[in-house]
Amino acid sequence: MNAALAAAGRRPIETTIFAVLALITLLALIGPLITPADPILRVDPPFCAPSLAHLFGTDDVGRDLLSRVIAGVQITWLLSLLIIALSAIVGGLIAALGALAGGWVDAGLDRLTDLFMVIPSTLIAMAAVAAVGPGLSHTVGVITVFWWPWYARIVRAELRSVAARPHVEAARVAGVGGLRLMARYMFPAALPTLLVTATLDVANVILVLSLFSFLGLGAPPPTPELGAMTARTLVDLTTHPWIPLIPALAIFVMVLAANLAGDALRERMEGL
Amino acid sequence: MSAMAKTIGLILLMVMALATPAAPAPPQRVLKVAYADDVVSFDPDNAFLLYGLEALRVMYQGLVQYEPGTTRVTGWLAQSWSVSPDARTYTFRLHDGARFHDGSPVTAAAVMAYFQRRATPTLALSYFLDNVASMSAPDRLTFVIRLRSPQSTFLDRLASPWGPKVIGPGALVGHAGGDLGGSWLNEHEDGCGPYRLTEFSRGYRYVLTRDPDYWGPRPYFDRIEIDIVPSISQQMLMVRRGDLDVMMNGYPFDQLAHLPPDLRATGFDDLGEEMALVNPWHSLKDRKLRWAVLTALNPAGWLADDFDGYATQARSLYPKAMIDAPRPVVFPGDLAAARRIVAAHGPVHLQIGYGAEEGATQQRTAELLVSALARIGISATVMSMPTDQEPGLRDFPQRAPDLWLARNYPDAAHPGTQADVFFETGAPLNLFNYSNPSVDRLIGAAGQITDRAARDRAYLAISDALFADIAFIPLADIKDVIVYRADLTDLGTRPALPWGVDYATIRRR
Amino acid sequence: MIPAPVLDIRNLSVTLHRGAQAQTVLAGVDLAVAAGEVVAVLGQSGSGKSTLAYAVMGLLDPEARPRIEGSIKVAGDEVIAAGPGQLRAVRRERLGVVFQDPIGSLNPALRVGDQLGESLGQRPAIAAADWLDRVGVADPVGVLSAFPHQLSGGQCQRVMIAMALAKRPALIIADEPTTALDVVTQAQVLVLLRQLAREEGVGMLFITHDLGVASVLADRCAIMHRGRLVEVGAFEAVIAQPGHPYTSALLGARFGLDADKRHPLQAAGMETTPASAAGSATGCGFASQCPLVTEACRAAPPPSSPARHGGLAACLRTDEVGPQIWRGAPEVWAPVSDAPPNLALEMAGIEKAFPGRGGRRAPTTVLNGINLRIRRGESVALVGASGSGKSTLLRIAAGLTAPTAGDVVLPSGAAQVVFQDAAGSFTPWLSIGEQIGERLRPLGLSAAERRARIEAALALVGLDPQLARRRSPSLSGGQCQRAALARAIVVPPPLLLCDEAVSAMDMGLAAAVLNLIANLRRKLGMGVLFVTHDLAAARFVADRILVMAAGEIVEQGEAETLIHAPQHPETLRLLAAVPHRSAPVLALARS
Repeated sequence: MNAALAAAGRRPIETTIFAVLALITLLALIGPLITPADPILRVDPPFCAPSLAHLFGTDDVGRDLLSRVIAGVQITWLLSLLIIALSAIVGGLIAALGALAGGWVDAGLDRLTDLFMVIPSTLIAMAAVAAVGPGLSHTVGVITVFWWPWYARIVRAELRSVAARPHVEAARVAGVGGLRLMARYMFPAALPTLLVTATLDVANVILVLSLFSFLGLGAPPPTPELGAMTARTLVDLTTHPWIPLIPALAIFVMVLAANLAGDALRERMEGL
Repeated sequence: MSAMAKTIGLILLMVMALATPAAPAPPQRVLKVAYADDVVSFDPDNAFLLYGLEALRVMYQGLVQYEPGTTRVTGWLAQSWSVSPDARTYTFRLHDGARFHDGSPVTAAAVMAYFQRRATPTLALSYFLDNVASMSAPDRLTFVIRLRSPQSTFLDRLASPWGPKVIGPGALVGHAGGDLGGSWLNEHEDGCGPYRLTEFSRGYRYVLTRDPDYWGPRPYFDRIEIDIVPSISQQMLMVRRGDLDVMMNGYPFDQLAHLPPDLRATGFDDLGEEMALVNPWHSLKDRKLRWAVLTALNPAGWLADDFDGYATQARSLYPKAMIDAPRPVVFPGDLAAARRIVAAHGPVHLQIGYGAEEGATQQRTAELLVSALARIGISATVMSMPTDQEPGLRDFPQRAPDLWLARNYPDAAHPGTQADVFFETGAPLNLFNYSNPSVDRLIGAAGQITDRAARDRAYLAISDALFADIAFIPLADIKDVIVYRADLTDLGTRPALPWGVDYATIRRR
Repeated sequence: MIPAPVLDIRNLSVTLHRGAQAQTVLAGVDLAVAAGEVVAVLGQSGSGKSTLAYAVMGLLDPEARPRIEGSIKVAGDEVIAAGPGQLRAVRRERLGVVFQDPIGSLNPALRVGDQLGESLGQRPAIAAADWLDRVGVADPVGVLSAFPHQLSGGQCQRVMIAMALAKRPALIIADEPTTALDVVTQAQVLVLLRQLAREEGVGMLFITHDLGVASVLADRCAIMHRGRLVEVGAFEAVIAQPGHPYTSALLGARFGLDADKRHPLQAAGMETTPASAAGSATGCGFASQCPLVTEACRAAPPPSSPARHGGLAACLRTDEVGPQIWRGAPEVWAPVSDAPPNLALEMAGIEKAFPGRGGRRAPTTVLNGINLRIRRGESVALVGASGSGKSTLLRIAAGLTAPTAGDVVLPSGAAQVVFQDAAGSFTPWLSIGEQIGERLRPLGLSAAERRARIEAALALVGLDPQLARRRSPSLSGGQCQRAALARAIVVPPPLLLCDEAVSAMDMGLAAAVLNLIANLRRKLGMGVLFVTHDLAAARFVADRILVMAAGEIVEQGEAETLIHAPQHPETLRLLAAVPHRSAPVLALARS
């Protein structure tokens, strides 16, 4: 424990970043339980400036902005993590399946990945969500559908490079069969890259999720979603700036933390 | 000289000619305005415009119009008129000397030719003349319309911004095409108003230029330049910079208190009342639940937070400018009882819908309603729907929203036009198919009354019945706000002209 | 008057940090190199010899936060704690370096001429071509305009030598410069280095693990063990009369073409431990393996004292050192198993061609009609230079590649393989016990039975059964190769295929592993196919030797016969290339 703290002290920037990340995740998990007010209820006249009663002031409907931002962080953060996790799992599985089966199955899955990467995914996704109706689960599903190819690509590249490595060859000679070879001898080599990519990707997903809400898809009002909150209140930027700025700032902090954490993680992995 | 040299010389010449600036024009008076949506068509008989109505009424003229600032009908192309004792024959005496933009004179025959075109069933606004039995033009300046049955709303319909506006023979005959001139009239005009349509660039800009041969009083501005600027924020910037003179719709209410000193805002009552329609086919089947919802939605509880003082609580299901009800509707006030009803009912989730093109104003109202419902324990979400899906609401009431927020405009200032748009069985905006035979009878009877006070009492009774049934909830009368440069005056606004100023009267100080 | 040494190292200690752990990699090293002198720094992996070289260059890994104490003077300039400008000046003008990987050390994006030109500074291109000619490059002008990847390893190494010398440094550091080259080129490059050192009068610090390589060009030698300099002196004298038990063990672990096949090779004292455990012992680092060890040895590191060969040795009992200290009862081979000698491998008419690149070039034929039979209990060596096809043949026998024509039959069952890169043949995130146990899976044993068999296999190859839980990055190279053997024999295969299994090892370790392979062959009655380029190892391990060149077997015969009466010129070439300080090598270099 002492050694860990000492190690942490030696890298102050990295430690700060991971601490911020932990804080955000904590907030996302327990936040809605500790909000000072109900994010949906109008508690005071609209457009109140930040004060002791309302740390972030009230928004254009009279709801406590602090509570809304906390609730929004939960939605944005947890959903982004969910999308990344699902995409990584689906992409990883498809890549592993292709590498395992080889031959035309692999080629076919590779072309499928190409196809999904090439279609104007954001447009199709917006159309899809507009068709099935807005809603958080729809948005998550649709975004995952065009997000997984990136991970499939990465995992496939890693698996191909691992397949040529001597320890895989030695395992094959030792009689290790297909599924076990893939699961225990090959796939773990892709994990560091997958992890780093996922961390760096969190920023992208947060932005896409916010974009969807900005455009009116995603969570239906009055659900506090940071992108929607920013978009709808942009007209008030010159007169009541805290209303659009604070949710935008929350997005910025999350994106920045995720990006920096990804960079730090990548540096450590490269040392391995 | 070689062929090559000649070609080059010619090209250079052409380039120089094009590049030479034209002789400077005399200083023009230009008014710059903007629409946030594109105009569907400038055909006065075929489109329900909101943006563009004010342009239409200076390109074309109808027989009668509303006086500025009132709902009183006054003459326009007709300098006077009379109604027969059986209320079925209207005789109009036209002004002498009016001319169409194609040059031909405005005669009773031309007016009749136009009215016949208007009555063609394929045109969207032909229903204005549903009750017309026959028309005649006994002499050059007399035009007679005979109705099938007495219709107290008829004159108001003629004065309506969507009412008949006389189109000249240049279009009706010269550009008839196969569709009564429809496709030509989308993008051109042949009216007799003070302005002509000189530029039509769809999606980009329209320009009205003053007709120097206009038979009536000369308007102040020589040109009206109308740009299509879909972004309200951009319009706000433009009006602050002076690139726009007037912003006729959309300026956020909460920003009106912070206008710079060179801009002014004026609000006037119009005929669009904010209402909530109740869907009784789904979650709100239970009348006690509807009563609880009505209690929560009492505008006294939330209106102060909305519209920044530019709205008042609606007193009836008719806009204030239409009928100013002496005794306002009374919402139930027992929130505790409402809470108990909801608690007893079990978890309720409602959906509040509104039309996407009204998003800017409606979304905030909707979220205030969500908050109001939350106070009695009902959870709600908000949904915006594109306009073309609205008819679908009646076909699938189970999937439609439980409450529909609307601010719709009746055809004219007569309450009969409000009733037959909303409250009648099968009315076009009766989105949840509310059908009550006794209300239909009341509407039919009220339509016959000519005395204004009695008529208003009759229509108010209808409003009370609907309110008791919790089918339509009157919420607010919202002022129509126009933001304009401080040196403009005589805007000429009218309750029956939403989102518009009168280009014929507006001028700079 | 003695001229000042070009390299003067006094009391150098280097501590590196790995994560939170600090580790003393060098302790109290004193060494000097005079102008025109070649000093060979000898040691096994983990001895610190490479760290020494990097410390002199000032290139220790900053991530490891090195702590350096003592003094390093290059041509009189202090290198430790020198400012970056001063360090750059030293590197640019006084120091030349030849690294281990010739192609990788050159800039792949620049032509050779441009890179050589950087070393020459303002001097014209003619000088560059002259230098290339001096280092023995066949077509200097052509090579100058080529890119590194278009040249062979030997050519690249010569270019590197030219670059190092062209700037007229005072000191050249050569870090295992010939390990990546094949034997013939290796011999040529070594002779070249010696010649140039003499002619140019530069001092040379030559790092290697191979005594034979050092014997070609070293004037003096410095023996390193576990971060300490244990012996230093004139090369011939030290070889003749070592002053430290470790040096004596190193000498004993050599084996040449005349090693006694009746007994296992001497491999005592050759155990290296992984880097993380080195440098943490108090007292002499060799104490755990030394036959002369006393309590005083364990208490504190013995100081350097004059040795009988005229140099220094860090041993308290230096006068007692000699080959006799290692002679106990001569080791004997394990008894031969009595399994019937069935046919283990039959290859008939094997051909292998790789398709031409881009369809335009003709296919490359790698194997051209090979026949091979091996019985159980029989050991066969496949010898050849790189490119002869021997590895491809082994891979075909292992089933990793398919032949273009011919039949491969394994009548007694599948074969097992031991690879050259021992650590690389294990998956780094799984324990070696689990990987060894993979071969037991199809047998349907219980977990306890499997564990027992794994531990038995580890014991059989001389590893502590506790190591089953460890992962390959925490094991040394030697331990990894033993573990690979354990994996191969945990279910005794009828045939063991060894692909350059000891080629990457230093001699001491190679001896230990060769002993092991030979013992296992006897105990388990396996057939062995041993692919190597080293005839000495081949002779020791195999009954029969097959010599390959250009995809064909050019000579084959019983091991002893082939060595003493070679027929084919290729065999002669390979024999001559066994590094040995004798006339045949010098003759080869001059040819």
